[in-house]
Amino acid sequence: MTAAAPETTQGGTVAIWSRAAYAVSALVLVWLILLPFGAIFLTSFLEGDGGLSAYAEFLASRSLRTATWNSILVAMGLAGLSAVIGTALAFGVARTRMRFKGLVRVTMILALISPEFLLAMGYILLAGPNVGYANIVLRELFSMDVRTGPFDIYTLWGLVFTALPSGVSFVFLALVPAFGSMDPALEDAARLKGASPLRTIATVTLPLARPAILAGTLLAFATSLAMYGPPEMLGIPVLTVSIRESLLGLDFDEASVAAVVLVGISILALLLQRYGIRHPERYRTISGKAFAARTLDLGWPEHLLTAFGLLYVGVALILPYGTMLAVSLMKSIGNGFTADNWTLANFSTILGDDSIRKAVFLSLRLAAASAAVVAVFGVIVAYVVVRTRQPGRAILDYISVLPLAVPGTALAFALIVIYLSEPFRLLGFYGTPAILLLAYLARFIPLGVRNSQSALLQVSPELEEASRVFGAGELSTLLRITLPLILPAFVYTFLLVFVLAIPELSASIVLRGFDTQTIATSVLSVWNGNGGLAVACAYGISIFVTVSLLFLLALLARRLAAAWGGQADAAPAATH
Amino acid sequence: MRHSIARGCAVAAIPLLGALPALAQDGNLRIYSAYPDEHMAALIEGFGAQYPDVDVQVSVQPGEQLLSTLELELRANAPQADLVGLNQASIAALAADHDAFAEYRPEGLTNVRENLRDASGLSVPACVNVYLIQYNTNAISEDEAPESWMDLTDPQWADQVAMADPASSQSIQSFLWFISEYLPQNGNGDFGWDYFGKLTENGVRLEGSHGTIRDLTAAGERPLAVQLLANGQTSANRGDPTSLVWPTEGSPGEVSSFAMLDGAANREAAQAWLDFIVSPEAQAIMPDALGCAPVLTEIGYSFPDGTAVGDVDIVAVDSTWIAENREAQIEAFEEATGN
Repeated sequence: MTAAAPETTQGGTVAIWSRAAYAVSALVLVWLILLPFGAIFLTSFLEGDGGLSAYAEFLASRSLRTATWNSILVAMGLAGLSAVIGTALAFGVARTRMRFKGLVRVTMILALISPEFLLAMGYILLAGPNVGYANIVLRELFSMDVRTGPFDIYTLWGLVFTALPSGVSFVFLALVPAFGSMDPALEDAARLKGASPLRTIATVTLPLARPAILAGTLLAFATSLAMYGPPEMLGIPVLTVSIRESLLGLDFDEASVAAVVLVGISILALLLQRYGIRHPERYRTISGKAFAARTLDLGWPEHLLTAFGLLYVGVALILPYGTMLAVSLMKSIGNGFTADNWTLANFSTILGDDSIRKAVFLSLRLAAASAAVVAVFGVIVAYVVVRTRQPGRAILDYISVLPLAVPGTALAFALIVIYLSEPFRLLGFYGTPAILLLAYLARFIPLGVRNSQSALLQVSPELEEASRVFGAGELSTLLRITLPLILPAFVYTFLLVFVLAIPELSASIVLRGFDTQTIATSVLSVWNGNGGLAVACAYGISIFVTVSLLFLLALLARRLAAAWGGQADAAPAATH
Repeated sequence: MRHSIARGCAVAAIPLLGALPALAQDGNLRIYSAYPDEHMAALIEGFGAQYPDVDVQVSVQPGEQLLSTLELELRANAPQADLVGLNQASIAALAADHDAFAEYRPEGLTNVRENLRDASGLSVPACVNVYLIQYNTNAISEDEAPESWMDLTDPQWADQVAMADPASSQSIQSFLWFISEYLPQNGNGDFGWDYFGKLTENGVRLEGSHGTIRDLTAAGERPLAVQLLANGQTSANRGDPTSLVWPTEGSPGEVSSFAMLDGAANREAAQAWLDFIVSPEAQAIMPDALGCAPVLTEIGYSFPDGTAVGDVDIVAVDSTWIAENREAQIEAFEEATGN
């Protein structure tokens, strides 16, 4: 976050332009982010008997203490396991000659974009203690004389397991570039001093990758805290579920304190991560010299990594979705994999159901609207932060990332409080898609701002200066120079938010009403009896295929936009 | 001259007034329902045959969640539906806090069994949903299946039983009342809140809705369940490997109902729906629709396992008591089960 262009170069025009952008950014961020934040905190002190009474009740409640403890345990377990598995696989893919690297990469991306509650459905079918398919196979295979197990998905570990693929993906995707851009000279020095390859990895490579490991692990931790679908489906009390249950009982003070605690834990984790990388100079390995990290020859451990990668692909992707596909083709889930139990009726139920069709259209509309607004607004905020010298721009930067620490259930609770209270009640947002759009915008704004900031920082201010020197106005420079250069990031942000918004559950479930049923809430409703497990599996498989195809489209569009941006890049140079 | 104009207007209005019901019974009819889509589908089809111009739209949520949604919409002064499908006790609970529902007594209501009618006129009974034990026939034979509610606490069935969570399900309130109030007050001292403590010790699994429980039972993951008749009927329709037990202590029967919201946008269509619900045509399809027993005495009915209604000890739930004590019941349940 460094300001680059002096505002004085174009006199008043620039100042007006940047002031307007600043004012818009500030207003929107206050409305979308600070207002809900304030609502959560104020409600926790004002509801009920006021003061700290709600906090005292929270501390006295055994079930809420259990939920808090469960949230922390699951988040820590998930973060720890994600760090170990993600680091091993990222290292294997980036630095070794392990095989099936492409398959592992694709699995990581698919696990990241597929909603956790879909994976939870697959794992429940696989690891239900009585008749989970994996349990039945293992009991048969090892002649176990037990009625249940060996796996039980309805436990804290089961919950960790259902969220593991997305957690591992966060660590993996953060680490692969870090491992790939390391200066091999550091490892060479260790080897020259007589260190073995494994010792070199342990003492040089991994410590250098600490910022990326911590970043990925923090994301896994925060995502786990915000998770709603899997704990609800498994019946495990965590804070997100407590917020929802408090709202069901219209206990606003309890919901607000649970939300404050949840946000507090997220912020604490963020601070710890910052503390862990407080000396960034220790981890810098990229200098002016051109180099590429060397592929290591580890010998037999590479076969282990290959086997581990394949096992991971099977457990994180093929088994859960394969099981869902099989169940989606059953007439009755109780009659097993028999020829007379096959049917396509569950898919035709999905395609022919009016309420599902409405939910799909609403999700697509919301995803498109939120993606467009987040992409545009992300550019505006990033412009203010990176390209202007407006006082307080750093504060805007911090506010824009705050939603990362607010789980969807807490955010939705805040929106209910706001839009049920005067004067906001007069807007009539409650119970309409507008309130969902507000929730989505607040949730995804950090993506827009961060992506645009990264893109703007890569564009040298000299290009814009050159444009101004040749007489172009501020707006003209922005439209003809800056925007074409950051177009790939813009398109990528749009598509990423679009893909992530389609299966959004944690906020949508709290705001669900007659006209606000989305894909995610309707699939959960089908799973919870409004159709049944087989229909839910058909629905889940359809979502998985759709989201995967959309993501592939996103990657394709990004490449096309990059190519187009490259042409645009060349155009001004030719003009001048 | 003025009188002539008035007379002319009055004459012109006569055919218009005659056409009014037909004109009014069109447009959208929006129903919030705790009854699943597949249960509502047959009713919508039957209604559509009589009122083809009404487009019925349904939004389904588990009962307790639906109550919360309605409560919040009423606070926002923006109810989103014309009708609500919930059990009688839940409607009474909501009506106690808000002037949310409009009184309406369909013509056919007089044919409904008197003890099932809502004296306030706010809800219209659709059918009687009864609690029973459902079991998976692949996992449990008919001979070894439990015969009573108390049998579910037998360690033989440890980690095998599922029931609905009162935090999410409205209907389970009827079962809580039956176990904690009705049975102890009627000389069965083995029951009370302790019963749920024993179920918890036996590893009972709590689920958000009876539909999920139905599928867990059909799959064998929880081969025994405290279940509603409607889901037993659905399982029978689907060919699930399940069967039913009518417990020796009796079965609480709750009244599945519909009620019209006071601010219904399409009041005429809502009234038409309520008229239809108590009509012989709707009552005849009720077992295949909502999956429960008709409320008209003239409609013949036997349970999905072939048992005659007269052979089952059905205990009518005290909806008024449940409406007044639902929050206390949830708290007592949580205390008994340690949740």
